[in-house]
Amino acid sequence: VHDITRAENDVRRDPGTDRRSSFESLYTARYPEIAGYVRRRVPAHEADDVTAKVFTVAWRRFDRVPSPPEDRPWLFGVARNCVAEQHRSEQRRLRLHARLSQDAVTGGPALAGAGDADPAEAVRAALDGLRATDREALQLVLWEELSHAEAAIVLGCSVNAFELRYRRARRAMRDAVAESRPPPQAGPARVIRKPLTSRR
Amino acid sequence: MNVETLIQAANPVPPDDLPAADSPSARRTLDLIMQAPARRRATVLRTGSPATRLVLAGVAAAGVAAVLVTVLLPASPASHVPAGQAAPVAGPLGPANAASSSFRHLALVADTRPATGPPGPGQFQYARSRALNSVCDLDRPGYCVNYLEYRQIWIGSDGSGRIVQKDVHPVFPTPADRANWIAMGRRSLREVPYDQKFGPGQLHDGPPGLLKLPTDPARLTALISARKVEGGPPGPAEDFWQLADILRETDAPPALRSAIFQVAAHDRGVRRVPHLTSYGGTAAVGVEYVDRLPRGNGNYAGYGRKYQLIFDQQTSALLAERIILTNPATGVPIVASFTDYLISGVVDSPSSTTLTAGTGSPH
Repeated sequence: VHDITRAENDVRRDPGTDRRSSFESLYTARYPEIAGYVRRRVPAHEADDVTAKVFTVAWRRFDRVPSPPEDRPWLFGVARNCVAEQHRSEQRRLRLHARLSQDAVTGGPALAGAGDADPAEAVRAALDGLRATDREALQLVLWEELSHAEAAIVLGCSVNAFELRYRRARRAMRDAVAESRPPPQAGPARVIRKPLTSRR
Repeated sequence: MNVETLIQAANPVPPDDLPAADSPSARRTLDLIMQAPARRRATVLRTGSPATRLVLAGVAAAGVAAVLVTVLLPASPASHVPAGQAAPVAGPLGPANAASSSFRHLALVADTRPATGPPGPGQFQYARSRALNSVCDLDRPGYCVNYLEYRQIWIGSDGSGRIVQKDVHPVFPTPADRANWIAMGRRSLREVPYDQKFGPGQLHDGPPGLLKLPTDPARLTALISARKVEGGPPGPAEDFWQLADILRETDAPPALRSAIFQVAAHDRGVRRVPHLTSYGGTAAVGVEYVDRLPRGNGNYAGYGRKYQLIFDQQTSALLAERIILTNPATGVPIVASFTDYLISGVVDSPSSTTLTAGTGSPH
């Protein structure tokens, strides 16, 4: 698991520190999780470009990047916008391609259906069926390992509003996977429940 | 295995596989980025969080039973909804309908409330709520447990604060859940209490720019519809949800709360909760958005869904939120979730629960 405490120490900004070295520290500390966020959401061949866009925004607006630990949700917020822009571009490109080829083309990431053998694919397909904000709420906490407070900042809502959305999403997800539950697994249940959990 | 575990296992890029910052491609990207000119500003614009706006609201709603499983409410009116759609169930809409009247009454009440400002230096906005938290173990045969979750939040003017959360009173929603729990070896039902402190700027408590939102209902409607206040999908259900997000904020000024109620008066698919006149002993009025669960909701597909907001008639404070599912075949309603807003106001430390004079609810 990414060591956030160490990362925060690495990027804690000294006002007298050179801007370039400060940014380099930020980049080094946050690159893995931001790149991970992007790779989970855009095709592999686009991921590096989108990640670069995120940090380019941070570089251009470095004076506005909050100090740690606030920089973390700030960067995720920028990444969210960049991913959304990439999706819009992809949709435009697909529509253009559809017009040119006279074929019906549907957009969105190629996720397997719920009937596929891989349970993870089935779960991702179920996630894909959720409302966008609900899906993002679950993913920010369970994939990006953001606290609920951080995820609320990324989504631009209050902690309590986030908590309500998270619960709604969790319930919808539970209902969606209930009918296609994976076969029983050996060993004790891993009850991972991190309400509002911050790793700091 | 619970649903969170399933989702974590489906992570396409697990934490152990995150790309390294010192990889050649990452370093090359960094070099390219820093070749671009950086935009310089005369002043640092953001060093802390915006003015504190706290989330929770409400006066005590003391009469709610422990963990609710079912409540006796009238079933949704029958309506045909095409498969796969969560279409709103039409209520008696129009200017004269009961929900619009309720919202207009609340708007008038909100307008008369005194403004309460954010906490001063060294003070914290404090709120306490109680909610239904349902935790499920999805290993076969699987079971669910309902908890009462008590949550307290302190948020300082600098965005620092504390959150304390405790789940108590586990109850199995059905005998089958209990039987499955026994069959699975009576796994521990204890939920670990949560107590976390946050540094400056770590607690964000409302949509950005909440206090700058227009109080003109038409302009506010346009912003919400365009998802400029919060992101989200289009549609009246999301409109209703976002209105609740703003009403849940305690230091939204009275004029803004009044405007929100006026916006809500025109929300499609919203109706007054029938027969609800009090909540926890407080004179109350409820409004609800009604639709049906589309496919993809497992055994609940086709159930009626009511998202309810319950307000104090005298103060316009939000007392509670509930989501109620109704079996279309039997008409039996199930409380899928609820949150009661118990108390809110300004306190002097992140451990105090004693409100300073004149700062408590209403919001």
